[in-house]
Amino acid sequence: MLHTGLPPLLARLRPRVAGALLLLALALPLQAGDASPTAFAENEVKAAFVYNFAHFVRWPEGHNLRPGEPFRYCVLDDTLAPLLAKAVSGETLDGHPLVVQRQPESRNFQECHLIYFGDQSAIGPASQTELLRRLSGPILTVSDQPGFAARGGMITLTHKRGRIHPVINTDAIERTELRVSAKLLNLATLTRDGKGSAP
Amino acid sequence: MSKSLAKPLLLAALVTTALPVSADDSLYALKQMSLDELADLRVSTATHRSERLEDTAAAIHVLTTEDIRRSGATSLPELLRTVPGLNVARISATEWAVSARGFNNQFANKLLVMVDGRSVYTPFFSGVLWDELNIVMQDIERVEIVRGPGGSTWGANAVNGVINIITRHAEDTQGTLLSVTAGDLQSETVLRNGFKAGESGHARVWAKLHQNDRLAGTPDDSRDIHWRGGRAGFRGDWEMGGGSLMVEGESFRELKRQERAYSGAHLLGQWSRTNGEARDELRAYFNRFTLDHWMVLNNGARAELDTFDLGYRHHFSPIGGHNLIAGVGYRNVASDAQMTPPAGVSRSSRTDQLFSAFAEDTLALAERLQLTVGVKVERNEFTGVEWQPSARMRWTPTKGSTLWASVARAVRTPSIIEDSARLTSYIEPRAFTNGLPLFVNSAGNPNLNAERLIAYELGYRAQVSPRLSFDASVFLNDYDRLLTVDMIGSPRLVPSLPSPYLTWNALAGNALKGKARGFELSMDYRPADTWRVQASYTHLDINMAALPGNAEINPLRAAGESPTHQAMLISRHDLRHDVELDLQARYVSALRTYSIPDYLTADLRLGWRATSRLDLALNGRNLIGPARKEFGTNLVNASDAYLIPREYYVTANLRF
Repeated sequence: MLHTGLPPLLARLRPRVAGALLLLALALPLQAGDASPTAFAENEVKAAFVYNFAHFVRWPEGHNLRPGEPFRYCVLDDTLAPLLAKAVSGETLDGHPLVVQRQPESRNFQECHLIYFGDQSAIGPASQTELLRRLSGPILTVSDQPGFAARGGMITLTHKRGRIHPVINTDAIERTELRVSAKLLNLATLTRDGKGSAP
Repeated sequence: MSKSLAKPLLLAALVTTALPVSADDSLYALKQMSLDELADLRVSTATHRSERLEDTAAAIHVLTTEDIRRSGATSLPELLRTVPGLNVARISATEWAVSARGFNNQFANKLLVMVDGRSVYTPFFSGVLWDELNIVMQDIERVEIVRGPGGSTWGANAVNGVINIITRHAEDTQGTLLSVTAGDLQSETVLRNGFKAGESGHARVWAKLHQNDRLAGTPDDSRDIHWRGGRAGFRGDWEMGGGSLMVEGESFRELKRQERAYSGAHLLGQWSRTNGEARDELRAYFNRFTLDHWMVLNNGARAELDTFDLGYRHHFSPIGGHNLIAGVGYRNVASDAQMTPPAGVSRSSRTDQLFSAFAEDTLALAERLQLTVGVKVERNEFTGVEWQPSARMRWTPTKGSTLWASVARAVRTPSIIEDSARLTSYIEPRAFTNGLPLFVNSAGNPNLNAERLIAYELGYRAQVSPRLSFDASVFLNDYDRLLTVDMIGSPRLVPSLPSPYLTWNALAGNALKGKARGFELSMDYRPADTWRVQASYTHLDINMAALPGNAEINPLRAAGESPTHQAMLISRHDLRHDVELDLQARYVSALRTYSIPDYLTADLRLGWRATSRLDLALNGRNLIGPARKEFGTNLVNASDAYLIPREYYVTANLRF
């Protein structure tokens, strides 16, 4: 049986218990120093995600990634670009040095391996749709803009209960030779072209 | 809102806010994190509070959804085999022994287990019925395992460790999942559907059916049992009124031919609100558990337990250097227990109330040094008021390394059986019984004290490079007033013909004390982006002695029930972007109590992500060596355990 008749809780706790707790709190020194926790800014976390995508997506051999050539992150976002540049500095991927190219000219997009469209991207939604359609070959497209998947983008970094959450448009990926690892697929929410702005 | 109540509580409780760091430091920290960890970081710009469990001043291990998926485990104990420092042994098709830092047993009573903040540690006999806890593995968000006491946060029975199982937010389980497992010893089907529930919410409904065959090929396999069961439940999450509401419930029935049947249901609601840096959490649940038929030491038992639990916690905004959390709780357990004569329960129908309050403060003593002190006070019906304080210190000498130390007191309170049951156990004719059968009539004792532990711990964690990290902990556990079965006088001969036998009376007591010492080492290494290797070693020494003049029948039992050495190696390798190979190997040294020799065995999993909607996995368990016993069953006879054989199964998960 469920006993719902709750006795008055506080009345049953002896006053001296509450007193002891109070004493404990007061006895400890105030102003003992700064206990503020680590701050991870949203853009830093996004940069870490973008940095990681290179490790969890497979680009086809040869094509636009010949031995010794750098792996290019092209970033259309002035806040994310310096963070990502710092993150990739000195790092390599299968022998390819990682480089960040800030605000590249659109005619150079074919040289990119990953393109990030940020909030501060100079390209509006309409021309972005056009650009995404025009891009050919294995180029991973990433953004944090709502509706990016519906415009044909591959990975969208969304907010989900205060966390950064990747949404992957599997149709857009499958149109290329890019292969996403099972680990990333499991972590992400999967969507398709027709599904619009889902999550 | 947080996915779980347990996580912020743990964080807050065990303390650990990290130090303020520069942008370079935080980028460096972020680069070291796995995708799982990144996805789990709060980036709330309002508080800038990071919540990294790994920074706590305790021996903690966290299993993520990825770890759970790649373990291939179909049950919680199997999953817990992948945790450094835990000892997991399978007894039969349905029974397991799981503990940390010793005192393992089918009725291991020093490990507190919770699911979404709901205690699944039964007050009927003290312990966890792992076969009752037949959770849907795909719905688990994370499992947090703390080795060592957690009494100052969670209260009584968190003596040797705490396991928090946190299920997934309904928003994370949208769409339909059909999961089918089939193998030579088990089969399982899970169907789940997630959907939007109103403007601001999400929900899922699910059902699971399973069947486990008795362990085949064993000499006495006719005694093991088939086990089948079914359960269904739901979970909903809503953002409302500036806070978050979670409601979940479940109903189940588990049937084991002839030997036992369980059924039960629960309903849990949890509301939380974050206001600036302050946070409120309110949780209530009702849990009904019915043992329709059960055998304890060959004594039949029936029991029904209705638990109502209410808890509230407040996390204060930091004041000065202080970070304070406080809370109150109330639990009411109404139980009705019957045992088949001559066994019995003297107070068969009873209501036990538990009142609790706790407070915990974290303060920075110096730039890189933090202290947390906390205490939980509980008033229970068995032993009265129990205090469980703790003090934890954390020092971060350099970026990526943490040294911590703690001292804590924890208690285990008596169960209904220990308090008021009469049990008869049969001991087969032995030399010391002059070749006669012996019946031990043991009685519960309403004057029992709580078991006490003072634990001293020291730990060190280091992220040596982005690919390599170490974790080490050392502990000394000083136990006192542990439960004993104290023999009274000497055995009495009953000269019945044709088969005379002995009877011996016993009374539950608190006459055992002693120390457990040990250390745990683990390493996590990523040789490549596609390969992760985890290795661990656990050492344990237990020395127990009954008080002088006490007649505990076997004070050395505890020392022989847990292995002195345990080692584990886990390799998770992505052979291709869509093919995974997982190896889990373990070595367990001998168990003297049950005359079980040491063994080495391994599990393999080959996973294939066939399409973005379908994945398949082939699993093999216990692949090295012949079928073997891993443990014994009851308290006196070791003969009832079964040989645990090699096992194969395939799992298919289809999402649509």
